[in-house]
Amino acid sequence: MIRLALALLRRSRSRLLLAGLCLAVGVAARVLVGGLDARAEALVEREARNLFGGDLEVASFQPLATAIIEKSLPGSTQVNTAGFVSMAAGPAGAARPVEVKAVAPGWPLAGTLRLAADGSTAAATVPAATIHTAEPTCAVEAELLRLLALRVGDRLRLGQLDLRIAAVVAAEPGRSANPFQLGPRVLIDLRHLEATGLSGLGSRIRHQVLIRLGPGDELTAAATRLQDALGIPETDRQGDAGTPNQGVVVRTCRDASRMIAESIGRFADFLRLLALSALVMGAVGVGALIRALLAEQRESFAVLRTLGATPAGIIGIALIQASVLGLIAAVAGIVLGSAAANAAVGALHGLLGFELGYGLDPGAMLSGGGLGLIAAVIAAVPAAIAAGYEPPMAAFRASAVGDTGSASGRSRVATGLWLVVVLGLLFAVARIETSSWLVGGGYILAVALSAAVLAVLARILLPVAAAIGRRGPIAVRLGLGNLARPGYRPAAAFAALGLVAVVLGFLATYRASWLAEVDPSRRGDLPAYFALDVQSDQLDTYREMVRGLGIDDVQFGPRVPARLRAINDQTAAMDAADATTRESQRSRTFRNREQNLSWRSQPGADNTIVAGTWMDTSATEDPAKPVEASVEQRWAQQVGIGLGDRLRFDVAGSEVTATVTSLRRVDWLGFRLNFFVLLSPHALVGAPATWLASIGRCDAATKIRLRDASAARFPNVTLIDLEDTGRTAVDLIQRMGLAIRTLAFFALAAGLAVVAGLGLATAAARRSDAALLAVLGAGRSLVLTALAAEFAVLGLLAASAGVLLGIGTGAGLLGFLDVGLTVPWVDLAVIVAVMSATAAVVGVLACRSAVTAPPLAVLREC
Amino acid sequence: MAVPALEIRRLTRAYRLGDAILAVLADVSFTAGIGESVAVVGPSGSGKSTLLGLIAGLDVPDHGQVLVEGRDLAAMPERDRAAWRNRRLGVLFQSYRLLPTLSARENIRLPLELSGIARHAADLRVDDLLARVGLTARADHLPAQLSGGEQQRVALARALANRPALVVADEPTGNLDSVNGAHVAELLFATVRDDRTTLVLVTHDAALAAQADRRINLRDGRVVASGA
Ligand SMILES: Nc1ncnc2c1ncn2[C@@H]1O[C@H](COP(=O)(O)OP(=O)(O)O)[C@@H](O)[C@H]1O
Ligand SMILES: [Mg+2]
Repeated sequence: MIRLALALLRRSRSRLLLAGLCLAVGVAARVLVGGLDARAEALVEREARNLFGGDLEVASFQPLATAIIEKSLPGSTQVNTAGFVSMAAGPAGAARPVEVKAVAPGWPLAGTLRLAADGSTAAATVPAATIHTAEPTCAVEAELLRLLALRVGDRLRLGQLDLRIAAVVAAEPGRSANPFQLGPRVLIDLRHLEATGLSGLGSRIRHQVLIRLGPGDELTAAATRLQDALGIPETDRQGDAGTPNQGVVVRTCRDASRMIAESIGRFADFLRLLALSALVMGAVGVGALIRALLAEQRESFAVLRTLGATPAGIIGIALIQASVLGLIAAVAGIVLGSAAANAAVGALHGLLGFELGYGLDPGAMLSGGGLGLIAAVIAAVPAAIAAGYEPPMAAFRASAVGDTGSASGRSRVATGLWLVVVLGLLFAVARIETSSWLVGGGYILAVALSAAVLAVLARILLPVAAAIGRRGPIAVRLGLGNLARPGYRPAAAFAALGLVAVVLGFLATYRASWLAEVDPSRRGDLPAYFALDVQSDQLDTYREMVRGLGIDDVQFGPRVPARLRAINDQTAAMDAADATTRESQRSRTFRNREQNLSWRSQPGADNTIVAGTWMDTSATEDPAKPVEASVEQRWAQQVGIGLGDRLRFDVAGSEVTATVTSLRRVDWLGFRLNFFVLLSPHALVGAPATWLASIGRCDAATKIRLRDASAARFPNVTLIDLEDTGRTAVDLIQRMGLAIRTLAFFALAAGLAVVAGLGLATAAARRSDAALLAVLGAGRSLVLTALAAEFAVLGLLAASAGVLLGIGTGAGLLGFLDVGLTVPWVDLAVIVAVMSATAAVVGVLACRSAVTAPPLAVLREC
Repeated sequence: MAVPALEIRRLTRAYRLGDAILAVLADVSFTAGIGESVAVVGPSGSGKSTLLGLIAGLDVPDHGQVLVEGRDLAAMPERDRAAWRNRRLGVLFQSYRLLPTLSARENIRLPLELSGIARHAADLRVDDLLARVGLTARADHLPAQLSGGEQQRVALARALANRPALVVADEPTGNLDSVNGAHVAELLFATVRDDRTTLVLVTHDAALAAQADRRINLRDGRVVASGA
């Protein structure tokens, strides 16, 4: 049967190859994404120690004694470090927030620190000893030199300490793996920490002991031994997602690399969905192409039935042919995708600053190829069933192109079942690809809805276009007339191109909406700064200073660090092993990390109570009064709690149990001071609080004066410039945009391959049409114009419909995320124009034989 | 009396064309005994091809029955009908209907492969058939490389491959010139006579019809005359 299936395809080899290419593009996209993701995660895993700078660390907000560590980890090496965020000022007083790391000699214990003598970080040959001197010196990232207009050799002020900039940090273990940084790095020697005056009481300095294990010591066992020795309770050991608010946390390099891998994975999930979309588009095209291929063989199938083949036998032959096509797609896609992945490694080297590694990724190749093969077979099923059940007499009577016979009742039922199976499978794949029910479900919903709407629109728009074209000149009439010709399957091309446009329209809308929210140049309402770590006794003087500069809009909010211990008396912390879906991973992050509790008398203008009632904040004195909690709704959703749940927090060693009495919706993109969890004020009285402040908009000169004055008078307070943060976010979106655009390009290529494939499938019929026209005296330009008009209008209609659907999809997701909708009409118009034009070019090229073939030869063929 | 090879009972077939109903066959009945050859004659459009399609079980009648060796074709499960077509029926078309991508040999082999005969036995049978239709030298040519007469001889060999009990032929010489037509007809009649195969032959060629044991005259879907 396999031989027969192949023999029947002997004449269709080139079309089979092209059909394979439709899917190969999707396969390649999947292999590319899967390959890069696997390499990135393998790199993180392999380089875990080097990214972390050692094997594990003990961290606390109190200085740590190392004796106990030495005892429980014999043979290990340790080095003390401390990290905090602070303002750093140049000699002129200009200040910026920086991430300070104070390290003892010997740091790091793994990976390499590279210091350079000047901004050109390529030649990083300065020894680390340069910063471990009695004279206070520091190494800074080149970015800080740029921001403060400094050079190596200049002075830098950190709190009360004046340091000489001795070197530029060219590379630091793990630093580039974190895209969210509050400022450039400043490295100093640990012995100078005290002299900064920033390490006093109430400061938020994270003290760490970095450890390299002795030979033969196993990481997990060592971590457990250390936790036992430090007396860390079992419930506190899942702290890799957070920071310790009191007590001590042990973190391994594996914990850290898992978090990096998870964030890479989340982005890769998104890209995988795009790749899956390219695959779906390819499958739409392959479905139509296989239908055309099978229609050509209908007479052969009828003969086979006459010779005694059963319908099942014919279906088998058709599916074998589809598998051959799928194999071609898989092989071509794997080759293409692997090549693209390796090319991308080179391109990303420059962008990321490190190399992901060249090679092949068997996992990605297998899953990509497998998906391609499955997609081909599944796409072929309805046409195969129709071919199997077509009455032979009908096949003998009908001509090869045109009517394909009406589906029998049985094959209709089978096709309906098939649709259910397809949706189920697609959902399962989307769920696997994203490790998330929510994202997977949302995706399948969007795809199914888009496909259904496009199918309906094809039925309406294409005949209408053909009818309108009837009034035009002859070329337009002929060209658009083909849009209503079922044998040409214009609906399939419409659907494939439409889906491409949905993806492109969605991405453009989504990106534009986010950019409009975070781009500081388009947000006139952003506060100037967030101030971090204002001490309680500094509140009044700080407010005075800000007011003194003419800024009235300053709001303070207390922040009380805490840990969430229990929810309704059940342990809140989650084990990493239980977090298998993206949702549970996020839930784990939210539960295990340090919580910032706060209180306020009113919910605030940018807060809406969506459930329950706002707490009673009147009596602050009575400690016996029950404690209420008002929580932000997304936090509640992530953590998995609702109204009436009891939350037990550990606040500086004492327990506070609060009942959730209201859920709040917060307009986060208003960039005002907000907290996930607000408790009754009386519950937090006396707890160690630092204060955050949002400082309202002011002119640029005042902004600079405020920053420098704050740095000089309140060195412990860090000012976050929201304009900088916004620019960083814009930059991040742009950088992700590159990856997304690449994948979108794959989707477009898949859609165009479908157009080409369908064009080629109808080329023979078009040739005979053209030959007849030639006999009747028509010129080639007429045929050419007709073809171009047909495909251009097809592309225009499909792209317009798809883009509108894409906007709708984007609006849905953005609404879900509480992000305002911004429609980039110009971008979208360009997308529609480009798609229409490329569809015309590709379509004409695919059917070019209709224009070029000598009419006489064609007529002899018929 | 033995069961006839083929019995047609009051066969009726109509097509719906929009609102109109076109009655193509009305109340057609006849039988053909084992080894008997019957020619169905009638002008174009009289329903001859429709009748053959029904006999081959490729179409379903509105009323009436087609009994082959006593079994009602319409009552058989599709799988049995397929097996019957494969082993007991041979069909010859006016336009040959060879699979264009298969060589002459491969075309002839098809029914043997579908019936699952051992490869070696199939090879011998194909060689024998090729020799019988005089195409041994052209065995590996594609249909497009063969003349009409040669193609129809390949189709004949294919129809006879499984030694069918019933052969139906729809204008088998209609596309051929008289010399080639005569050659194919001679081969066809010689084989059915040798193997005692029942033959239903549709033609409007009186000379060809004369070679059959019996003639049935079809006009506007009705049998108007029947005789030896
Ligand atoms: N599937 C069909 N739908 C409608 N009319 C048909 C169909 N098949 C055959 N006919 C009509 O039935 C009549 C008999 O056709 P046919 O059996 O091919 O005649 P013959 O073979 O005797 O020339 C013709 O008028 C033909 O147009
Ligand atoms: Mg006929």
